[in-house]
Amino acid sequence: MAYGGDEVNAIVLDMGTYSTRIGYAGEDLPKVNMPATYGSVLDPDTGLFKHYVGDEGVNIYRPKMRLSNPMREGMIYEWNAVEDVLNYAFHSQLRCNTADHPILFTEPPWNNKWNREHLAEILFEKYQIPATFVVNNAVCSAFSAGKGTALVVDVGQDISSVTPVVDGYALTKSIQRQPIGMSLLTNTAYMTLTTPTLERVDAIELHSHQLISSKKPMGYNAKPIYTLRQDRLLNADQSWRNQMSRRVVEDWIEVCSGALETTFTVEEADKKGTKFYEFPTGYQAIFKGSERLHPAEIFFNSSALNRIRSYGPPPIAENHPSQGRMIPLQEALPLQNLIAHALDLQDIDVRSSLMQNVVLVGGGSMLPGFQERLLFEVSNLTRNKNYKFHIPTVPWERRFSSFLGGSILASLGTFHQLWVSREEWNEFGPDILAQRCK
Amino acid sequence: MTSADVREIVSSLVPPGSTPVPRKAVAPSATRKPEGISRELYNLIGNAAPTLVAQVSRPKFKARPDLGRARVKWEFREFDNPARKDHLKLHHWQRATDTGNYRFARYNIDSAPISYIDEEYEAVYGTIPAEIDISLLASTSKEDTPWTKEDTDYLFRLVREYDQRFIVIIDRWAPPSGIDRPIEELKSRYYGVARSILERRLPEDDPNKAQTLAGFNFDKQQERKRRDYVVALFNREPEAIEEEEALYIEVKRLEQNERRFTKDREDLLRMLAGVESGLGTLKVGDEDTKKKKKNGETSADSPATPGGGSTKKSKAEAKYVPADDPTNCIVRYDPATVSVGSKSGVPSIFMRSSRIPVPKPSVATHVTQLLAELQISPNTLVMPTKVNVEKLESLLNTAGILIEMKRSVDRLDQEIRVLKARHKGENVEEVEMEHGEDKGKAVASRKRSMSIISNAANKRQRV
Ligand SMILES: Nc1ncnc2c1ncn2[C@@H]1O[C@H](COP(=O)(O)OP(=O)(O)OP(=O)(O)O)[C@@H](O)[C@H]1O
Ligand SMILES: [Mg+2]
Repeated sequence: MAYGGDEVNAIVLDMGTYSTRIGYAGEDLPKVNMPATYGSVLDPDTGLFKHYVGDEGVNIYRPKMRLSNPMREGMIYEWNAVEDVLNYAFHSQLRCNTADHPILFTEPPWNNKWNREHLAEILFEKYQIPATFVVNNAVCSAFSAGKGTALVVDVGQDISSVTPVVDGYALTKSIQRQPIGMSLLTNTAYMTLTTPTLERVDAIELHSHQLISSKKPMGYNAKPIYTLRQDRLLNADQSWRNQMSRRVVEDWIEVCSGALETTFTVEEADKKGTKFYEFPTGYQAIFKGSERLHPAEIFFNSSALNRIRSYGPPPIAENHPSQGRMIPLQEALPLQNLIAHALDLQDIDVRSSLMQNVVLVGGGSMLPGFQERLLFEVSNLTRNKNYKFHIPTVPWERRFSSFLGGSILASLGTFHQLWVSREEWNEFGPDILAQRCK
Repeated sequence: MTSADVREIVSSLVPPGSTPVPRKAVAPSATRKPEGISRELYNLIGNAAPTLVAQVSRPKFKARPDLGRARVKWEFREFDNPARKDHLKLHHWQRATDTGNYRFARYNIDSAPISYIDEEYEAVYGTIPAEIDISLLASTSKEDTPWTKEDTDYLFRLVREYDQRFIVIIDRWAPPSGIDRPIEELKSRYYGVARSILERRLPEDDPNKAQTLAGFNFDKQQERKRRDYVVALFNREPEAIEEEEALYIEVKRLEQNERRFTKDREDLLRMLAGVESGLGTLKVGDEDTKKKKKNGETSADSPATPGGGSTKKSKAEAKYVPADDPTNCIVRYDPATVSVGSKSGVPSIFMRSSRIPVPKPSVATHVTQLLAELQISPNTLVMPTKVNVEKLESLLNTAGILIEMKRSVDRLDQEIRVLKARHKGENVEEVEMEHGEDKGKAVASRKRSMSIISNAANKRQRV
């Protein structure tokens, strides 16, 4: 029981736009990390939709399975499949009886009251949990880096956000967020890969492996020879095919992409060397530094940003709009400007502590060179040498930072007095959540 | 839960005496050498050939250390959290022998902010109409509009809710009247109201009244000036900072030169004339700042800004003191104690444990001894909260006084003894006379020790 910990078998639920992370408090990794998207297939007999969740639900080919993402801006937007997701996590993966486990869930700082209360209601009513609590995921990320006061920079799937956290409270008025996230990077990389170049005269075909029945081993840069599964091609839903192609691009990004540590020039980027990648079709290519590292310029470079503005904004939540303002894509700023702007809005008495405790998290921070580049750009922009970045060195601590922070919080002995119990929920109604979880 | 705890739990689940018994190795039965092969050859190729297996099959393990710990039984138990007002029962693993209160209950402390009841408020501010005059709103600038009671109530609620974190309060600020105000306005209102309420509430003869009230002094203008100054400091260009640093080093160098010059002259005069020069040492910056600091600490009208955490006086000597700093209430922490962020001129976060007072060096050993007798170790203060550190500090002070007192008592005793010894054999009148003198001395020294006490008391008040 060192470090003030006291395990009460709490479960931490962290839902993001890209993946949902669920696990036990006190552990540093989620037990379940499943895609946020779910598949639905119309059952012709009953006329009802059957939902498929989890990796094996989504990534497996099923005739006419439509994929959709119930999350927008990190908030639950579509509630049809939420219970399927929770059932899958609690019953098939964790195999636990939820009546024994208090559940702490995270929410983005701009979540609305209705959403939060609705999820709590589902947990209490459908899963009979004894108690719940909701925390801001930026606060969790700060905790995961061991900080109570931090400027949390989260480059997530749909959104990059900068959230000041002071003594464990997110300062909601000065949060900056804009729809420049990893999904936009995926779009950009998609364009890069499907645009022919001098060396690659053909666009790369991004069929996913589920659609390929056979392929031949080929040399570098040779035109691939493969056959597609025609039956699947005919019956697969377009949304599923798109999503699977995006998975191919995401994998390419993970293997090949990254950011250049300094201002981008073709010569400088080419010095970073080439990388080899084999696509599911059997096509093997070598990518030059300038090609690999250019997509990530959308985060730092306004001219690269200008190019992608034409892609149009990602979908936003409409039925229960988020709180606060999202900077529209047309006005989006490079990340360093976003950080500097957020800092400018801070009270002078906390500004320097925030500057010295910048915590970088989210899928974007996984890109090699991303942190170095951000630090470079920030100190170039502001000429202030006092910025200090605290970037967890263990990669999954960055990806699962909000889970980890929640996990730390829910296993603290001093925390257990804060749970909103079933009794309180019944007595005071949903308003208790806002009062307790400040 | 540490891994040791887990091991304990697991080991308590395994019944004792069920440690696996190592299987005995079966000795290979010796076979006879077939005819027609020489014994040497047979030894090399036959069944009896020495095998590698024989050499590695019996690893020697180190004996397990006997930690002398008894098997501890752990139980999965329901527990009660006294901080909760409902009946939520959570479960955790606990040593079977651990009973009694929930161990984290003692961390549930309130920061005890001021609150008031309606009568108190009305007694101070009269019954102010709940609605603000709209014409007033239009005529004055928004932040100057008078406070309503609703807004004040709301402010006090937030202060309680967020434990006086004004940075968070200003972020959550959405008062009934809808008027946005700057942070110093909120602080000023909170401290102002709290002060007048306390002034009425505390009895006139409360010895600590003035001191308590002084804790709620808040000068809005001063705070605004301080903030402007900090902003200006923050916005310095890197070149300006460099230049400032260069100048500072230059000043230090000049001062040093001057000091050396004075010393040389002093030495020279003493050598030549054999007298003190009488010119006195040139005043140099160091003493000046010290004096200034002392004045600042004692004068009652020094701008106190409670709540502005960065304005707390630090004991650490501020090394780098630009002239405007004192007037702007800026205190620079000694970089040795607080390394982070001191460069930017804005004091950064610090561990309260780094501010634990240390006894004065002159009495340090005795004080440590004393504390050891009391079984208090200042280095292992479990929770260096404000209250605890204050208590420790006053304990150290009192211990210091006690020891100084003891010393002077010892000295007096010694003097008395010496005098008494001298008196023996002398005539009675003389003895009486001397005795009178002695008394006088004793009185004088008692006065001295009294003044030590009051000094110490003063110091304590200041801290
Ligand atoms: N090692 C990696 N290299 C490159 N990209 C990665 C890596 N790991 C994850 N990603 C990308 O990060 C993105 C997911 O980011 P993250 O997990 O922060 O999103 P999220 O929290 O689910 O979404 P949000 O915070 O926007 O609601 C995905 O696009 C994924 O492809
Ligand atoms: Mg996220």
